[in-house]
Order: sequence, then structure tokens, then C-alpha cells
Amino acid sequence: MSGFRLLDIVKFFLPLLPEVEFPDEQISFDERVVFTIASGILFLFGQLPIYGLVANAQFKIEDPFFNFRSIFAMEKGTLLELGLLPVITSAFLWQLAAGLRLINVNLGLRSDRELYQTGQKLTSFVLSFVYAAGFIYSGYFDSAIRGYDPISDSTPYGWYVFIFVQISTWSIFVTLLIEIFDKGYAFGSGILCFLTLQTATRFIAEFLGIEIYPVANSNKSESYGAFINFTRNLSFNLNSLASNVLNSFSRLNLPNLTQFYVTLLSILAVIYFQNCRIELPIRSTKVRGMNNVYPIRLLYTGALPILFAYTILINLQIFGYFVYVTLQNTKTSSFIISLLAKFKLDSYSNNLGLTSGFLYYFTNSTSLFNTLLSPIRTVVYASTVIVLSSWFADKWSYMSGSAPKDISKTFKEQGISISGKRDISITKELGRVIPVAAVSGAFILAALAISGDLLGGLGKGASAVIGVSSAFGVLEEFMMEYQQTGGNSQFTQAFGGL
Amino acid sequence: MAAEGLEKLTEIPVEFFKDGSAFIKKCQKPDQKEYFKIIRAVGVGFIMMGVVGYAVKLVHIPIRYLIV
Repeated sequence: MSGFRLLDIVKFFLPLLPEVEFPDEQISFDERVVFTIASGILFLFGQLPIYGLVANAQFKIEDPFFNFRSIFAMEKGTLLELGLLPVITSAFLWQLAAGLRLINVNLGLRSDRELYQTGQKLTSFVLSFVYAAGFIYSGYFDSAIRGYDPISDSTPYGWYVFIFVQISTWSIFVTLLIEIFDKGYAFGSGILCFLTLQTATRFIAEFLGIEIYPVANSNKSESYGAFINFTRNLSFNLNSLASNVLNSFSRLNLPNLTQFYVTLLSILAVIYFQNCRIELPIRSTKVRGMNNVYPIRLLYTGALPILFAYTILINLQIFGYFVYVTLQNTKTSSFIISLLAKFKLDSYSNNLGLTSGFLYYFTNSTSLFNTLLSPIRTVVYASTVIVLSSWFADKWSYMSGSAPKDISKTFKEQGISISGKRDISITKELGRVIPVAAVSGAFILAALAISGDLLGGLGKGASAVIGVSSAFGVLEEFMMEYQQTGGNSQFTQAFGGL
Repeated sequence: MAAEGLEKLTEIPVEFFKDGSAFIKKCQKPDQKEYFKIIRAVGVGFIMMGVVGYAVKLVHIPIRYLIV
């Protein structure tokens, strides 16, 4: 035995945790399509409301995390309250731990890989318990629990347990849904696929959503979709046209048109950058005259770096909020609390916005006006995102399976070399190009996400950036698989006429 | 000493910007025709996904009234 390994602790939990079995045989193309769509629909069903909250609870909950929730598919007042946050956080924790050699794991070994995946799952479960308990402890749901008055009634422990069980169970369920993807039943990585789905759904719902919701603390009601709301205001109130137009661009309780345009522009920009690439000329060492190109994309690491940056930021916010509430409950002096954070409730949208304190500097602003008003926050926030994502991209380009060393190994196996270079210098040549591509790509994406945020996109620009660039990954795997089956699928036959 | 440390600190971003901009200059960018083709392909997929997702979301509304 070569000492004690952290991974061995996981072994104890191996028989206890629910697990998706590896597929026994090759999953056919059609089956994979069905698995992908079905898991997507199941995921969307997580937006059912939590039992025990009042109707339209999403407008009554006082929400301190409104800046970031769209990136992690955290839907207020629904089963997806935690969204993909526990899964994403645990995935990054384990990948970083393995990549920075904090834990000793050999992913080439089957037993180690199994333990690694189980560890990731276990962390995700534990994290979802922690988040759920923390949310309840901090009184997040208090203003929306059915038949409960925070001032006169005693603590509703029964409801608390009920809500805890609901959100943590659903979070476990989502983790297992993602495992279906990761074990090869469906296309792409589960997290990225769900993020894409969530972004697309949100994009349509926010533009064209026809549901009408009451505005919190007033007797008016507004349409959910920004465009629908805009046209409705136009036709009904010609007198107060200017204020209505302003409202449809700046309302915070429901999606506004600014967020829509930010999302749209981000999508177009990502598609452009996604197709920037450097083509290395390669030739076969076995067959004479076989020349081809090997593309190295500018967005080499895809959306992962900015997803990482935002994961760090939101965890900072959430745990910061928990600490803030704990400090308040233990009656610490208000000076210390105000150093950490100071929240102000916006009665119109029920968002708990930060106004000062340490946490304030790590949030995005709600509009361009606020961005210009607080330049220090803007600079701190922007540089945090950029530095975090560039750092991650640099590390990731060595950690993942597509590091320069790995690629040159596959080159050698397939008898390929770069034109005009000797075999030995392939790794060197790739090592010169890949990290630069990864870091510049991450930098550009981060800049894009931030400029969306600074314009008042409230994380929606960022979520669009992540969603679209992950869509490319899924699409690529889909196309590759499709070409391998030779287009011989029952779906093509059924939908061929479309 | 301090000045040396500072120099090193500024050196990394400067070098990175030099490398990065050289890389981007060398990059093959999609031309207009290719760009529109991709936008159309991705756009159709994205909107289709969104509409299906939103339809599922609309199904929720009656269920919401049933449970709450």
C-alpha cells in the first residue's frame, strides 16, 4: 500500500449510492436521441413549484442571488431552486483536485475512474444538502411559505423539512440525469446540454412569454415576455408611451428588452468566435501525398473557463449570504456585518440587492447606469471574472484529455505529423499554439460575458455565451455520430421530408 | 527587489496580450457567407429547442394551479 488516499474514503459509499449502470452494448444512434430528448424534458419538469409555498412564490421570495441564477438554471420557487449548481461545483472541485494533483487518481484505471465519478456524485449530493439547509436556515423561503406569518407564528419546522426534502431530492435526481449523459447514453456532457436547453427555453420564454403575472406589492400585472409586454404597453397606453417604453427596457421583476438584446448580441458574437481557428497543415507519415489540416479553435476550452469563474462567484455570494445571516442571528455588531455585506430590498421586484460591503464588489450591476455609478465595483468584478477564467483555461489546456501531449500521442498513433516538422517537435509546436489559443479564447469569452453584464444583462449574456458555446459541443458529437451511422436512422427516415 | 517583482507581475499580461493578439491575427475567421450559414443552422436548432422547452413550461401552468 502506498499510503492513504482520499479516494479510498469514497469506496465506503460505493455500494450505498444510486448509480447509473454502464451500457451493456453499443447504444444506437436513435436510442441516444431518445435518451437526450427524454432527459431534457424530465429536466424541464423540475420547474414545477415547491409544495408548501404560496402561489406565484417566485415573486414573493426575497432573492439575494438574482444576479447569477440564470447561469445555473436556478429557478426561483421551483424544484430547480438549486439548479445545476451542486453538480457543477462538485465537478469543478474534483477536476481541479485531480488536475492540480491534490488527489492521487489515475483516470486510465477503471476502478479509479469509478471511484472518481462516485466521489463527484457524493460531493454533489452533500453540496445540495448544504445549499438546501443553508437556504432554509437563512430564511430564504420564509416570506413565501403557505399560511405562515414570520412575525407572529412560531418557526414552521414541518414545512422546512418538507421543502428541504423536495429540493435536495430533485437535486439528486438531476445529478443522476447528468450521469446518464456522462455514461454514454446521450449526446455531449449532461451539464452543458442542460445549460443549452435552459438558455434556449429562457430565450424564447423571455421574448415571447404570454403568461401574465401580478407585480409584487402593487395591483398591476405584466406579461412575462419582454416583447409581448412591450407591444401590450404600446397599444393600451399611448399617453404614457415614454415611461412604458422605458419600463419595458428596465423592469427588474420580469425579463426586460435590454436583457433580450444583450442575449441576442452575445449569441451572435459567440457564433463568430466559435468559428475562428488556426489550421495546422498535417500530412500522413504512412501514405505519401495525404495532406490535410488540423484545426485548432480559438475557443479551445469552450465555455468551461467562464462557467468556472461564475461558479466561484456564485459560491462566494451564497456562502457569503449564509455567513451574513449567521452573523445577524448571533447579534454581531452591525459594523462587522456591514463590512461583509449590506442588502437592500427592492420592493418592486423583491430582489435583495447589495449596496455595499465586501460581497458588493463581486456582483454585476442591474443596468448600464449603475455600472457607471460604481466604477470600482465594475473594475473589480470584471477583472475577477477575466483573471479566473484565463487562469482556468491555462490550467485546463494541460489537464484535460486534449493537452498538447495527448494530441501528439494520438498523432503518432494515427501516423500523422505536422508538415515541415519532425516527430519530436510536434508536442513543442502544439504546446506553443494550444495554451495561447485556450487563454485568448477564454479571455474573449469572459470579456463578452462581462460586457453583457455591464450593460445590465444580469448574467443573461453570460448564460447565453455558455449555452451557445456548449451547444456547439453537443452538436459536434451529434454530427459525428450521425455520419458514423451513415445517416441510417429511423428519425431521418421519419423526418426526411421536412 | 520590489521593482523587479513588479516588473515580473506586469510582464505576464503583456506577454500574454502579445501572444494572444498575434494568434487572433493569424486566425482564420469565418467569411460572411459561412457565418450566415452557421447562424441559420444554429439559430434554427436553438429556436426549436426553445419552443419545445417553452411548450413544456406552458404545460406547467395548469399543473401549478392543480397543486398550489
